Amino acid sequence: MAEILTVLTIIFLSASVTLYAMKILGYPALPAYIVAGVLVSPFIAVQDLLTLGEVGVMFLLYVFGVKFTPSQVSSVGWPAFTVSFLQIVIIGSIGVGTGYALGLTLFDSVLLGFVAAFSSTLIGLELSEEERHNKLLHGRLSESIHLIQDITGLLLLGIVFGYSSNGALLTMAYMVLLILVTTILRRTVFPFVANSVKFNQEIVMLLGLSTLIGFVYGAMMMGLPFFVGAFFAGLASAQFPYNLELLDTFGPIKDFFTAVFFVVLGALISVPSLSVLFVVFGLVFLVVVLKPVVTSILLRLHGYTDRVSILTSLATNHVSELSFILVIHGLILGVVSDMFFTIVVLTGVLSMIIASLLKKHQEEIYSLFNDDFDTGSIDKTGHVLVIGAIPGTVEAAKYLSSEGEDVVVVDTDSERLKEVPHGIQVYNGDIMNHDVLRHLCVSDASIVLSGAKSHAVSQKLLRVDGPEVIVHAENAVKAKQYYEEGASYVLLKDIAIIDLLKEYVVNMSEKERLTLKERGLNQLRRYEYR
Amino acid sequence: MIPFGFDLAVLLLTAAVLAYILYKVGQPTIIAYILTGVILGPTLFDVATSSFLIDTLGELGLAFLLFFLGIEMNIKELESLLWPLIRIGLWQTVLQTALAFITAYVLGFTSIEVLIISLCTVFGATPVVVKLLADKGELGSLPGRIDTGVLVLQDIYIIALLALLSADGLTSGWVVATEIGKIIALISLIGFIIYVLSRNILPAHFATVASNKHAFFVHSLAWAFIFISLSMYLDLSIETGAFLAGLGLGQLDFRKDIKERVRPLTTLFIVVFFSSIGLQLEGSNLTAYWVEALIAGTVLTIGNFVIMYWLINREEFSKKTSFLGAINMTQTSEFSLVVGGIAVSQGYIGGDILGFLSLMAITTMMTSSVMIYKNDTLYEFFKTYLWGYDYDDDDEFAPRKDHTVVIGYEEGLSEVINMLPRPICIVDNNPVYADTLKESEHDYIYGTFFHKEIRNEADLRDAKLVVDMSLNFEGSKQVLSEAKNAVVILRAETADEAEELYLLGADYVIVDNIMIAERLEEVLHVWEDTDKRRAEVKKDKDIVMKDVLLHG
Repeated sequence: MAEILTVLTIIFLSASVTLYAMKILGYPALPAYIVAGVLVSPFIAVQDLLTLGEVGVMFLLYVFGVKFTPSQVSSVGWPAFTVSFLQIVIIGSIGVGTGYALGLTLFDSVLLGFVAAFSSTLIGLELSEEERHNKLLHGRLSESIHLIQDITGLLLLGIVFGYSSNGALLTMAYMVLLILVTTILRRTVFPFVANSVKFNQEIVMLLGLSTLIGFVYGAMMMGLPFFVGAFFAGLASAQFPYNLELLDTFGPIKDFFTAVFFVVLGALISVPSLSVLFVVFGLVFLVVVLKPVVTSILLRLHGYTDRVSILTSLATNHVSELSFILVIHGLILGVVSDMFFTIVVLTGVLSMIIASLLKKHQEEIYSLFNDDFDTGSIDKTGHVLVIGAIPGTVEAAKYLSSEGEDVVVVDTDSERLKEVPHGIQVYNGDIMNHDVLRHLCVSDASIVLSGAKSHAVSQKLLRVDGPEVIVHAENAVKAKQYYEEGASYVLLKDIAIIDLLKEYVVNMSEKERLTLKERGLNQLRRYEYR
Repeated sequence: MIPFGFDLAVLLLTAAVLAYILYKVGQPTIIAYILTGVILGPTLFDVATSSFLIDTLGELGLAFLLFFLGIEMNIKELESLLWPLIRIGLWQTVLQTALAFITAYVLGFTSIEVLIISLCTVFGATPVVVKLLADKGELGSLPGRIDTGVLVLQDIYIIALLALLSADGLTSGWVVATEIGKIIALISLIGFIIYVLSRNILPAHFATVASNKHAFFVHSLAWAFIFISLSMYLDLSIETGAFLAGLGLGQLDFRKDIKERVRPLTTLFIVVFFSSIGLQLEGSNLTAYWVEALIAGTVLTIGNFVIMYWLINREEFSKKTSFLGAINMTQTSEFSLVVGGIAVSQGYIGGDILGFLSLMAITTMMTSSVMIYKNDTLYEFFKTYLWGYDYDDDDEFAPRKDHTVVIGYEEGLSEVINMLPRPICIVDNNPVYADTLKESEHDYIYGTFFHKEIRNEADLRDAKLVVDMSLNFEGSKQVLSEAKNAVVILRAETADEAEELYLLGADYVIVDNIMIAERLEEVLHVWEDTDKRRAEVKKDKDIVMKDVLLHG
């Protein structure tokens, strides 16, 4: 009892110190745990903690399964799938080839390929608030790619580890069985049982826990790794609204055990030799430089603009937690060597840190590669440029067009441009690109109306001399700044909300309540076209 | 390769099934967990034994439960109760020990057995009381505070008692005094350290890490573990350390969030804890004195209730408070098993007496669980029979009714929020606004609306108006299902989400893009007319400038 308490204290204390340091330095959180592990490894008996660590993996994947929404994967359509797979194949092959060239066994080389190819969800989802809030295209793309890769990676791991117990055919059969059982439970059994416990947190937790235990043991009996079972357990439990309750409950439990897991990961690293470091740097280069290059090229070939391609790639250039799970499981089973383990974990930590650094400077990196194949100059004067094909601005474009103005709607997302009514000219391009701005003859325009939520875009447009510029501001402070920088008008949601609340809500009567709802529904009808 | 043992898995599965059954028949789940241990352990089927992992998780459960309790406690409220608590605690120990002494003597036990029995059975079971009160949300009520206060004082006696019993030189009174003195000194020292830290360093420190939920949680855990380990090294119980650590965090703004994050962990570990009690019981010994156990259990339950009732009422609390406070404390602590175990190993008593103590503990824990669970119903039933003077204590926090709930504060909207119908309750989880909101005239709950307890606290059911500015689609759906009587205004990101929310009963859904579009259109309509345009733009600019002035 005493030892485990002391160990837990050391783990959490060191983790909080490193987390604090990382926060100040502006680095992501996950590497902090691993660093903490490295620092405390002389003080703890790591072998005893492997069990607790694996419990962490179990909960990590369970929660991932609970959170998983299939719709998120398909929100950007097929391109995400093809890009993901191609990237996995290309980078994976390079990884395998590299391993082979370095003299690693075939097995190790394949694992190396896996590590290089797959990108993580947990880190990737640390998108900036702006990106997630505004549902920018590159945000959605990277989210989809991550999810696809996580599922693929997980299934692959299941097959790889299952193969050694059952052989390929049986493993596939078991996987199919698992998927079937999960679907049945998710659709019928779980909702039925959960409904009868009506949001009692404790019972729901026990329910989730039982599902988890059942699936983990089931997976074990099928010769599949336990964490695959845990993921499917999460999927099985995930009907709304129980998934909320489950996330609420298992979130902290997962956090507790995964903290231990990542620290243990760090503690298991052995001191790297020069040759190990050499491999690590090579791998890091592959993951952090080559992979985004390949991904951007693939995206570009699919017709996405430079900006979207580059920004998406910069969100998919690190090592996934799946790789950590892979090597720790392999280490316990004895199929992965200490050296390989160290290589993977070090690569992971470095890639995460470098990736977050690159992300911070993504705009600068983008401008380095700023030579869009533009769609040609439009050669106009006195026209109206509407930036961003979103409900608010498209409506404005329609109005201005009906008043006889020469309107051009610009957007990076060709899907959105398809929703613009016929008769209004559209332009697929990125206005952050100076060539595009030139081709749009922005200085000769009469009005530039931007609905783009990005601060960078608003600032860039305000610097243009000539047209009257209307931009969007995130808050009042930015709005004031934009007015001072010469904006003719600033779009700020607060204003409309204040008006609405003042008019309808402050002294509401029953009649006004109905009027309010009517107003809302009418608004929706007017501005909605999806 | 499974990450945890078969024993633990079976334990959890059984506990889940039994808990489900008990939940369906309206009984507290603790009974399910104790029964799990009894069924799986040597007493019945003997399929599981107490493994290292089970023991560890169980002890952690107790520690976390007290950590949770510490966070919940409000030191200022405790201060006013301090002297009544000390008096109640002191007299309760004396009187209950006497009662147990007499009962054991009458039942025919030997003198040393009588001594051990009366020492063991005097304490209430902190885990049972705290868990049930926490589940019912009554920890903060006046009877709840009295009970937990007494239990905490008892925990200190327990530490002293354990130290004394384990020591070899029990004979000298001087030794006893120094032991007790040492313990009190150590506890005070830790308490002082925590007090200083929680006043000076903690608030700023936690504000820095508050933005990342995981980091925040890890920090709270680190804090708890530091003091748990410290008290372990000083030979104080880990529960004391955990409780004091919780007290330290209880003064922070973030305590509700910390509490809600610690709660599920605690729940999980406590399941293991209660199950493990049952696992440790030896079947044959349990039945050795079962008649005596039943008699003693009944006598002590009634007797302890009467004693507590009288003591509380004597301190000028109302009959209701006295009743509720007393009925929560009628059980024997699991601690009696611990003390009994030590007494056996020191040769003071035999295993059969331990069996007697265990049976008493289990049965009283189960019966008192039901009583605590139904304490309000029991009060209604018995209130006309209660004796004593009915003082007036201002207990209940007045529940909110017909109020406005604002979820997710936006600085830009502060002026119009102030114009909403009073009283207003603001729920927000952004530490940046914490100071401003605390000083505002409105009710302020710091926390994430995601958490059940916070939704309950805001009394959604009785609200008249709910304005949910947080862009949380799932959360908004929850709001709609709970705020049945209110006008509900929500905020959504897309028109699709808005439509769904309207279908679920929303009165209005703010979609930022649409709001902006409407306003833009108004401005564009007068764009060509310089004067009108200037007037419209000025309207907006004024609001912007005012906002910036207010919030800088």
